[in-house]
Amino acid sequence: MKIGVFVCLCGSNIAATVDVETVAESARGLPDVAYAKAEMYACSEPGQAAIRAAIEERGLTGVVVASCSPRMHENTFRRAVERAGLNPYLFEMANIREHVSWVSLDKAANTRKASELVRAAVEKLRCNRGLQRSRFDVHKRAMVVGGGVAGIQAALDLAEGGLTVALVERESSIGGKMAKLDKTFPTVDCSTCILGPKMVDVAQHPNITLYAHSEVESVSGYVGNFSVKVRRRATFVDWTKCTGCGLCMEKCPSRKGPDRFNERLATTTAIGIPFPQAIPKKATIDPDACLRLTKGKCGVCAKVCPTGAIDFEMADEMIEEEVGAIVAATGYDVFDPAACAEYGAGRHPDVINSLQYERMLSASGPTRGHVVRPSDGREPGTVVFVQCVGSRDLSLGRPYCSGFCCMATAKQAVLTRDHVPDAEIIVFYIDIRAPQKGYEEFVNRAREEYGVRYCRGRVSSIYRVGDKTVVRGADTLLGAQMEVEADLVVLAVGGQPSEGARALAEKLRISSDQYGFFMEGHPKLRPVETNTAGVFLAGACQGLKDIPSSVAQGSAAAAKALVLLSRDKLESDPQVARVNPKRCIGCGKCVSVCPFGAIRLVETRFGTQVAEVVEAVCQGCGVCNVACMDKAIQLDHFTDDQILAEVNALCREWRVAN
Amino acid sequence: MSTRTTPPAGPGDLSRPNGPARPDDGARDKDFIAELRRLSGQNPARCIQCGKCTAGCPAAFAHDYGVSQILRLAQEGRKDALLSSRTIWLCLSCQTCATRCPMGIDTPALMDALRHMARAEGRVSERAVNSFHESFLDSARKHGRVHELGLMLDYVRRTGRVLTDVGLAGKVLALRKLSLRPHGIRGRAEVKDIVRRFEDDDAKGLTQPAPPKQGRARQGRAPR
Repeated sequence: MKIGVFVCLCGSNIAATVDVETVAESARGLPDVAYAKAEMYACSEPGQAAIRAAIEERGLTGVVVASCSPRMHENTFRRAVERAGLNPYLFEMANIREHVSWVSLDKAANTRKASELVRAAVEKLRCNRGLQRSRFDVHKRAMVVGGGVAGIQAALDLAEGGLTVALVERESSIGGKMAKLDKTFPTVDCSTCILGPKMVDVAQHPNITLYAHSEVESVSGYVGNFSVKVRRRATFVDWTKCTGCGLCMEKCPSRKGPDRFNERLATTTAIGIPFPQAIPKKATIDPDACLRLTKGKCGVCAKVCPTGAIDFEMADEMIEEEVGAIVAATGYDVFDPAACAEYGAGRHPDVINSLQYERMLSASGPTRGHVVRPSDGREPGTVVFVQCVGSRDLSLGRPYCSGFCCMATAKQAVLTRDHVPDAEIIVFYIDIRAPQKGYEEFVNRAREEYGVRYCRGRVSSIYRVGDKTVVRGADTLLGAQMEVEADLVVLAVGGQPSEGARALAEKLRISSDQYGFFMEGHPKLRPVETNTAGVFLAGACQGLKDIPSSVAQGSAAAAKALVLLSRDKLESDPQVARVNPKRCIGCGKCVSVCPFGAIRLVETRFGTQVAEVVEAVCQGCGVCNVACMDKAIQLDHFTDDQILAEVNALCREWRVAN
Repeated sequence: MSTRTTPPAGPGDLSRPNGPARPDDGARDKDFIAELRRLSGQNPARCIQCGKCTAGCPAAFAHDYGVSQILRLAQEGRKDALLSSRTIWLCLSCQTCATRCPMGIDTPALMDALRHMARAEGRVSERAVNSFHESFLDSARKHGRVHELGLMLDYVRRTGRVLTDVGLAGKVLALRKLSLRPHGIRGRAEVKDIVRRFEDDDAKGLTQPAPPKQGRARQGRAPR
């Protein structure tokens, strides 16, 4: 083998604390190394050209690059050596930046460690063999999980792009949080008026199959070939017959169930359609509220339904979907302010959260768009908004800024002025965050034109005196305390990952951050990809964001999925497990430990059993490699021989030094 | 509707601690910040200046600086303003601010440290409060617990404030809350020893604060 070693300076990132010339010099003394050189930026165009030129001119058969973490640039260099005619797996990377230059300032020790890592990489490379990628078919169909505005946008773009799409929504209608909003900032557009047409498009698009009132049960398979089980929860109404006429809702005698769509500001019937623009516009029975399903009596809806759609015997149904890519768009839940006991939400009737206020402002909401005090239904004289409830609060485990509440509050303050022209409107804030287009101007308008009083200070407590709700805050700019006798207090609640997000992350095999938001592949350069190939992210499930950003991310995720599925065949990663049938005793241990179900036992012609790896399913995790007692199963590119060669190289250095 | 703004009793404006407005002299005493962090176990830099402490403080009406302003002065290492402040002596250590602080800062511990530092420099702005602390400790040292009547008399002797709380005397005497003679306790010598040991350490500058309790989880409900 003729090996070339390229030691990257990475500007001063490596060169400042590692003597790269010494590292290159020491590499020249290693077995099979024919060429070693320091490069300013190995990943840059001239850097890659130098590697290609060296391969071609010197007839190199293997390349080691000592630079950064392989996470980012292993692929870059594999492609570079491939273009020069080498097998991309005759390439090794030594991480002398994250593992060396960034962690210590001791140049002598760093240089020694970098040389050792290069030696280990060379020894591994000497055991490498060229691997061939195989190609496999893909399903030209995508799934979107979550039918909020991000999921809707992703589904529409995917469908327009020519793929068929399965859109799975947990609630009985798509629309998500945006459907609950009255208006949107900073244009004060009617939320349903702009979202409604998109929802209708989803319903009418020939490429979209909508599974409302459904949840993802399990996911198996791999990029291009996911197999997803979807649980269609029982609606107790045959949606093929239901016309959405609403007669059942009028007649249903059970009217005390919590109205989830109206954020529990009101009660609703056991059977119903959550809101007038619902898609699909089909009735669903809440089994916890229905008298027939809880007590065995009633059944009025079945009697009045003109199409005979009611079916009390309905059970959950499982559906299998084969898709090539999945977009997770599960959104967020609002923070429950009851955890902030000092604010009295849930105890004082006139303290509500911002989403409840949104329903109150909405003409289709429980108060038909009238702003009232929930305690007595009177119009409020003083409305106080409290920002950062459940945001920027370490003691509640939520040190993050939720991002959308400053603007939502400014919008609600402006709308309050429209609904109650004489109202005194006070906003308690800490800092106003209005960084997007037109946002700062909107907040200024709220102050200047709408007479909203902004007081800089967090509220300490809220209590009830008579029929007033007293807000005790501060004006930190005056250095003074403030007490306001309010009629209505709106808590601008922050967000958190939606319920069940962690469970879905497990099913999709993607990671979540400490709060439960899904992790993107790279915070800057792979914002909608995940580290699981074929799974993409859109909207607030990746991190809290407002509507424009959610829509942008929905489109971005769709574009990424379209790019992936624009190919007829995908190339598989050849770093997969391989069974040596001569050594395998067919114990089946690998089959039981494989987290991907990629190994099965097959019968040989002698009637014995041996393990067999399904290459396309194997993710190359190496668990089987460790579990196999007889070393019969080995992970290509990470065989025991290759890893031991690295370890031996490192230990040899250590022995010489000591 | 009514809104009531309670301004602080003294000069609450950061730029005017001792008189007319003047530009910040830029004196950021880093050693002072380090010493305050060590003594209090709190890091003022953690404060996001939300003002929730000022908002809820029951003693704010008497403060010259609001509580969040004390935190701000601490962030900026404004030693003179802090050590001559009345707020640090008028803090009741009621823990309202610490309980509600979103960043988990134990502000009363910070006030404690500031009082110690002010005493060490001989610049006590509220002498009566300091006298009360001394009378309290003297009484506890002598008897192993506080003798209330003795404490009151000693406090009056130190401050000359004869009429303080005199109106309450009849009530508490009737309730037999004040005994004329001190009660001893078992282990009086040990209490004396504790106070002595603390004073020795204090003189040597060895007093260490309790470990900081920061980032408490309230209700234990992090997002799932």
